[in-house]
Formats: sequence, C-alpha cells, structure tokens
Amino acid sequence: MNEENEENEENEENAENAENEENAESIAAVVIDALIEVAPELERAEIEPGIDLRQELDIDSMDFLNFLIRLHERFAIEIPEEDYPRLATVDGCVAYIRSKRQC
Amino acid sequence: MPSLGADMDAGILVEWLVKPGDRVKRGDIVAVVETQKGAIDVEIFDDGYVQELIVPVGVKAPVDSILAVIGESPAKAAKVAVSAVPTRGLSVAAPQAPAATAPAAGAAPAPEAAPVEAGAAPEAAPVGAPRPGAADATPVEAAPVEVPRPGAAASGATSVEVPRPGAAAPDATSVEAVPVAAPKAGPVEAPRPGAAAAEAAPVEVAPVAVVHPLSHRLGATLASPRARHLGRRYGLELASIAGTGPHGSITGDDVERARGSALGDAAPKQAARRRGPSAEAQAAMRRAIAAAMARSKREIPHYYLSHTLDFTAALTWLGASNKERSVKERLLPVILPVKAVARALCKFPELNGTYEEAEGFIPSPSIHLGFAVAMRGGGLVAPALHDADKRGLGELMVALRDLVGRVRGGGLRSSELGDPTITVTSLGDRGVDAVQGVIYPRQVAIVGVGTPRLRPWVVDGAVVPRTLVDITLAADHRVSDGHRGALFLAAVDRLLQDPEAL
Repeated sequence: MNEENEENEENEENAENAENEENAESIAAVVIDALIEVAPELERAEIEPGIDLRQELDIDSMDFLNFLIRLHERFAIEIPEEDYPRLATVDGCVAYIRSKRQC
Repeated sequence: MPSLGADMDAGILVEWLVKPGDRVKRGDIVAVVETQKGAIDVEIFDDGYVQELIVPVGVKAPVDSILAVIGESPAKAAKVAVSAVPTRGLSVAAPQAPAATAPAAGAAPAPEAAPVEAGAAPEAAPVGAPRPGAADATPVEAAPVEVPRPGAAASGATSVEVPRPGAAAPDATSVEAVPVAAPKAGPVEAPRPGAAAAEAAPVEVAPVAVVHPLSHRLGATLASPRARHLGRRYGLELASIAGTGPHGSITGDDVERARGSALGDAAPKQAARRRGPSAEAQAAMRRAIAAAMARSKREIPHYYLSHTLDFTAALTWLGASNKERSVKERLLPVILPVKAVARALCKFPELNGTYEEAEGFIPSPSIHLGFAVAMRGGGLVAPALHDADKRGLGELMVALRDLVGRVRGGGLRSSELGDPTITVTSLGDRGVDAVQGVIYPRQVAIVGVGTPRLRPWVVDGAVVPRTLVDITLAADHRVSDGHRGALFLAAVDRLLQDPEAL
C-alpha cells in the first residue's frame, strides 16, 4: 500500500518535471519568435539562451520595448521598468515569465 | 510613383492591392513598391474608383510616373478617361494650361515616358494631345495614384508635376520643385533641354530578374494591409489562410496563427527566408545615402551648434510617469527631446521646411519630424512622425515605436518617407556624447541628440552628478543664422526642464 503511494508520488513528480521542461521550452520558443519579429535579421541559431540580447544581439532600447510589448501581449503579464534587468537573456525571460505566471 | 526622398529615382512595383473597379479612399494602401529603402506601402491620396492599373507587377517605374488611374466612377468613365487622356504620352496636363507648354509634349513624344500628374484638378486636360471631342467628353477626374508633396496637397489646384529624368541631377531637382510652389498659376515650365533626352528615353521596363516570391498570389483574397504585410514577411500564401475578419477577410492575427502552426516543421526554412535585406538591396541603399549626403555637402552650407543640457528633471519625470504606464504606453527618454524639438520649431519656422533651387526656402505649415533609424544590416532611413508638435507624448511614443518597428520589420508607408520637414537623429542609450548631423536635402536642419550620461555639472555653485545630454543643430546657412539656431537650442533646453508640460 505504502509502496504504491510512493510510486504514484514519484510518477507525479516526474510528470510534473517533464511538464515544466516542456513548458520552459515552449515559452523560450515564443520568446525567440518575438525577438525575431523585432529583429528579422537574427538567425535562430545565434540566439543562444544565455546571450545578452542588448549587448550581443544589438537590440536597442526601441527594439527592446517592442520585444517586451510582444511578451506582454502573448503571456498576459505586466513588466515594470525595474524588472528590465531580469529580461536580459532568453533564459532570463523564460524564468521571469514563469515566475509571473505562477503568482 | 511617389518620391520617397530626394535620392530616389525609381521603384519596382511588386504588388497591386487593388484592381480596376475597386473603390478606394484616401489613405488606403494600394500597392507595394520595392525601393532602396525596402518594400514600401503606397497610399492613395484621393477617393474614387480604380480605373486602370498602368504599371504591371515587376516593372521598374521612375519617380512621378503614373502607376494607375482613378476616377469618380468605377468602369465606364474609365474608357473616356483613357481615350481622352493619353496617359502614356508625355503630356503635360495642367489646369487651364496655356498653349505655351505644348512644346514639351511635342518635343518628346516618348511612348512610355512618365506623364505629368493631373492631380486633383477637375478640368485637367492634356496639353498638346489630341482632344477627340473633348468638349462633350465628361471631364473625368483622372487623378493618378500619386503622392503629392506637402505643398502640392495644400494648394490642390496647381499640382502639376514634370517627370523627373535622372537620379539627383540638379536639373531634375529644379523641375521637381514645381509642384511645391503653391499658388503658381502660370505656365508650366517645359523640361530643360538637358533633361529632355533622358525623358525621351523609354522607361526601363526590364523585368526584375528575381520574380517576387509572392507576386503570383493574391487574386481576390480579402486581407488587411497588416495581414498582407505579415504574409509577405513570413512567406505565407494568404489564399491558404482562413480569414476571421469582416466578410471572411484575413487579419494580421490570422496570419500570425497560420505562421505559428506552420513554424513547427518549417522553422529553419522560415528563418532563412526572413533574413534581412539582400546584399543587392543594401548596396542600393548605400548608393542612395551616398547620393543624398554628397548632394547635401555639395549644396548646403551647414553651420553647427552644440549645447549641453541637464536631462535630470526630464528623466525623473519619465521614471515616475512610466510607473503608471503599462508596457504598451511606456515612454523612452528619446521621446522628450523629440517632442521638445517639435514644440520649439513652432517659433522657428526657418528651420522647418524645404529649400528649393527655384524658389529658395519654403517653410512648412506642418511639423513632420523625420526620425533617423539605423538599420541593423547598415544604412538608415528617416521616416516622418507627422504633426509631431500637436500630438501628446504617449501618442507620439506609440507612433515612434511603430515607425521604428516597421523600418526594421517592414511595412513603411510612402507618405512617411516622402515628406519630413526636419530630421532628428538620436544616438540612443548606448551611443556617444554628440552627433553633428548632415542635413537631408531638401530639408534645412537636423537636430542631433546624444546619449544621456551621468557627468559632473554645476548646480547652485556646487559640482554635482547630473544626467546630461548634448543636443546639436546643423542648419542651412542660406536660410537661417547661428543666432536664431542658438535661440532654438535654448528653447529646446527650456522645454525639457518642464517635461510635464510637454
């Protein structure tokens, strides 16, 4: 009985992890799409998850604002100015969006 | 073919968004042309019905040539218009045009030469052209799809344009100046001898080497301009997309959705197709910039002024204001100097307008502020923020953001490129202290905004850290002097100290 329960819990946990990973991946895909809409010259391959969008991909303040507006629309989240530093990379964006959606 | 800047001599028609019989109204986007500045949406400036599409898709047409004919009625009248007005001849159509202009038409009966714009003049009649039963032919308004310049739009009656032969040849410029001269009722200047040869030469009808990937699509597919634009950008067939808009028309969101589902398997291909401008397009833009800037430095006696101002009050206000604003309404610092420049210009008309070789300086009643936008692949364009002085900060910011987005993503409109009356160039938040601009001909001034930086500044006798900005002015000394220029920059400074009032 106990063993069974444990097994179930474990399964649930695994399922949750998988779901989270999948979720992160799909969020990243939407983030990258938004970025490419703002900067169509970018190659998908050059947008590495940890790369600094503004410094290394030459996204200026106007592009960045247009990018944030897309994130705002697609994920229905509000992004105050003081949070901008957390959105410096694709990874950062994904983490930020997930934290906003959980609360 | 609208002129999208002094440096443009021709454009390739890549797509018609209307067909004969269609009803159009002022502001509709009727065609897409490929220029050195990328693909531009051509707007129409008259209400009416499309009667004839003259320039076919894939054909390169010189600036000021007629792309299509619109009239007051859909079809029948079109025949009258076409037979009574030989739009393909080099006809100088002018309201009550005196016979003096006839030689122009007679001298160069080039079969494909660009005709002159009949504009909004109802009695427009071709000069020197056969007038078979002109008396009983109902005067049909044969207003070509043509973007009148600001001056011409205001005057209406005398919008007479003489075809422009070459690129930035001085001759062409002075001829082109004609329509801007507002109430000039006199005879239309015949093309200069030098220009005649060029005009007589048939228009380049060489089919473009690369067929536009989308030129074959789009029969009667109903779609919004944004949908068409996105379809073009993503390389999607609109006909294959289910529309959810009015009458089943395809909206931008439909295209986004279709793309979303297409992306799964075709992502790499899509990415490859969406790459920035081709090397060829970039080279063309480089040449266009070279021609405009060389002309500027050759013809315009620039003078330069520079002023450092305290940007702290403006930024403090902006930060507080942005706390109240959602992302979509958020302001960037650059919008404050942009608005301040526009406001200050109201009192300095000598910095806002165009300089024409024949007439000299023509001040503009409106402030259409060109904003220089760097393209990521190199090159820049400076499309207009219309009536920048009259719009609120929020509205102006949305307009600017949209404009920059379209410069980099595509979808600029013809009116935005053709008519700025002054330019602002801003170095953004990662630039350097100051920029000394080169005036874009035929404008007479350019304002530079440096990158705001924390620097030592003296306030009330003590050195304190402040965020400072260097603003500069390069202006045409034929039109204004340094004293007035200095007063102008001081006025911009003053306006920026009270940002709330902007």
